[in-house]
Amino acid sequence: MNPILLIAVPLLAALFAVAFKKIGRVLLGMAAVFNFAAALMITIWYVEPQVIVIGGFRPPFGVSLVLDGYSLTGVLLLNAIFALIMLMSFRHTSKLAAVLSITLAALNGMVLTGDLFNLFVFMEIGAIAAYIITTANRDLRHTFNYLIVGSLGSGLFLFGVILLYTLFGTLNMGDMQSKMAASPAPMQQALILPLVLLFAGLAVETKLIPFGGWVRGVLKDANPLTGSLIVSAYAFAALLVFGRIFGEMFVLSGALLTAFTIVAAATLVLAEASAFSRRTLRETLLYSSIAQSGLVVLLFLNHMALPAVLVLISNVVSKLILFTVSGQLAEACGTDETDRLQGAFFRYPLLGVGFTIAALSLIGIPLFFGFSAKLNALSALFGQGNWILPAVILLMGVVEGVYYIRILSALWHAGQEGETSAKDKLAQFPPVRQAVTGIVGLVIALLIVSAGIVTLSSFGTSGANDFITLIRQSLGGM
Amino acid sequence: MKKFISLLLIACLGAFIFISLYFPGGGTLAFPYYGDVDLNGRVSQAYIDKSVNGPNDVVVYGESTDEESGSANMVTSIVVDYRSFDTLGEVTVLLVSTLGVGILLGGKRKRLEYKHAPNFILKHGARLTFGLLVVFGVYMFAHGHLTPGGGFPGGSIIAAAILLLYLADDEFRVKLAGIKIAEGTAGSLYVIIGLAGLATGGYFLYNFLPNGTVGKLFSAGIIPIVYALIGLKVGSEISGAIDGFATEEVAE
Amino acid sequence: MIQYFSIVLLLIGIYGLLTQKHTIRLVAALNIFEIGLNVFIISVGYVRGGIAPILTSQANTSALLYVDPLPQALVLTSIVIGVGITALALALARRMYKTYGTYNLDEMEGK
Repeated sequence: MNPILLIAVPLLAALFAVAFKKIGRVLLGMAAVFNFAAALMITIWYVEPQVIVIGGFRPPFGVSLVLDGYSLTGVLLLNAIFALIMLMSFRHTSKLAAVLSITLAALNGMVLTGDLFNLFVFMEIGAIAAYIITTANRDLRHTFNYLIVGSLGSGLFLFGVILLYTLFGTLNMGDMQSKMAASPAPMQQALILPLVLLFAGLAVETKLIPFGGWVRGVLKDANPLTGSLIVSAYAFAALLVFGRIFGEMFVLSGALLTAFTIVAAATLVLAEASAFSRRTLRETLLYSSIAQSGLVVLLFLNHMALPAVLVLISNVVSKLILFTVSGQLAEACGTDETDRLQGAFFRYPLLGVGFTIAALSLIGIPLFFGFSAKLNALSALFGQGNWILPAVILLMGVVEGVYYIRILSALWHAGQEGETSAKDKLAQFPPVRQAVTGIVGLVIALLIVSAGIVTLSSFGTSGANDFITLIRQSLGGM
Repeated sequence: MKKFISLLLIACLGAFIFISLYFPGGGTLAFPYYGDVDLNGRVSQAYIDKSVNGPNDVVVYGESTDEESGSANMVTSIVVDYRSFDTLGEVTVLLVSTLGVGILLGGKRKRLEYKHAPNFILKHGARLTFGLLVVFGVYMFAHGHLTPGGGFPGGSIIAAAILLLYLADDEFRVKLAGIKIAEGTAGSLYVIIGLAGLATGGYFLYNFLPNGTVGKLFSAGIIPIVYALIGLKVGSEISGAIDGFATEEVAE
Repeated sequence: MIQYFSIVLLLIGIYGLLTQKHTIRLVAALNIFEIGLNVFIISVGYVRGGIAPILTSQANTSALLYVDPLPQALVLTSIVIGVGITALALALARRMYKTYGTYNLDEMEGK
């Protein structure tokens, strides 16, 4: 199974969907299912890291893909997440079938590619698709804002890539890494400008301040499809790319590391504070995911790839179900203010179970996956002899716990009859949609619990970069 | 006030860029000055010598045969052969943005009305020029592996010819369904050629046709075919976008 | 020299993006930024005394001194991406004009 098919097949589906508009959604569904199955098969047959050559030209010269434990984890989860989003929000895809197929191809390309310029191209495809997906919201001003900020960011990213090309004479990530290892000094002055540019470029998609301003406008009224795609699938791919570049290729130190860490920590603190002060479901969740992005970036920068990936997975999997459920509640009730949704889960427990377990896992209740992810991160930070960052993360974890508990108690609490209760408004919630979301929620909840137990039991024993073993164990020893 | 702060910010950014580029600090790496570039330190020399997959003799125009990438235009051999995957992505970028234009400016539409109706000479003169422009566009992408140009400029020229008709004739409209089929077919053929390479040579986008003599019209394997497909696709896509801008929604 | 100008152009574009409130002007500023970037990319590949990287009947061997062909290939991609984004941004601006009756982002605020 050649991983290139993960990119080529959805692309082909999109092109057919352009020519034959009527079967567009069928093709999209087929592409999503194919990609999920293919990713599973690639995971099962995976033996060792390999470089997939394209066009028959050997790596530093031709474009190539890299399939290692890191990108394999990304590909498997990404396609699973995408397939689940399609399953739950398929009815929102009417006009967007071709665009969504291209999104799938672009996200896979971002995670798999081993070439900096090719990465830029895929990021750009993904970004343009994201602009189009967000036009489903009523207010186009936010999309326009997102487009301007995103284009500026990707321009800066390209600037950085070109500067790196002038320094190293290559665009291949592996080749660049080995050339860098050959130059003696640990931190080269000339690298500062390109790295700052790359960081600024990636900060748009990873939602760091001051480039994350677009998120609130785009997501606060997002329908279930837009919301879960941006918060879960896009965030996952963007942060994996960030980890590839700043966790693996360029190991930072000195002033640059301090500066970037401050940006990430500030994002974490400010976003958690904003999330705490919001009273609507989706706004709270979107600020919470900005905060988690900040945390993941922080961990990647400080050379902790494994904890970073664990926190990232825990976050995107939980956010997937949280955002879909709140988007659907908002559609059914016409509002997503927490106070006006009182008792929603009391009436529809099937929706509530997945939501609750995802939220509890994010808070970091023991036995859930989020707990082991956070435990890993904190112990790794303590291991480095660092005390300030863990203190900040713990404090923010408490803040997070408070607002999630607040949401959960409101949604489970029956509320008074009449004005404040959501019971009557929920009457039209279609049972099929409820069942699909509920079942997906249950599956995700099961995975969170099983992955939580596996990672907890293997805590401290697994190798530093052994994502794939962890995943296989969590899925039941494949 | 806002302008002043922006100006200050830009000044800082500019100073940072200029100092980093032209006043090297510590470390062994430094940006080369304008023109002081040694291609042997870059991957590019191998593209010029066509020696990516092993050492190669000097390539001679009109004489060397069966080189690894048979295009006389080295930029083309990078765009459509060595880094063809980027180009596939690039074509996808254009596809997705014109899809977006179609979604935003879709629905039932009619032509924008002109204040002055175009006269006979303008309409028919434009039609004459249209034929010439299309021929020029086709020439552009058919010779993309020999001379400057290729699928993207060629396609843009064809789209410009369509734009000319839109400007000169206030009743002209392209058939959008036909445009969609043309761009979908051309794009899928590109991917299918790539998959054919995977099936025959083991690599996606592998150049599986004979490369011929450098500098001949029928040379360079799949490059002219891919460039013709790109030309068709770009031409039809931009024409579709032009239609979106030259029309307005019909009031219900 | 051309490299300095390309960076100045790039900075002008960013300044425009920071200060303008008119959607069409923002798109123009974005284009200025992209053109500056593209000129910079081309300038990075210049080799003193090098000729255009195309084999012809005059410059007929690969042993001659050519400029770097790779940035030229990259800039083609960059230009096409710029075109795509510009088309999308203009379509958005037009739709917003239809909704709000103005191209100015500040004036949209109240409506």
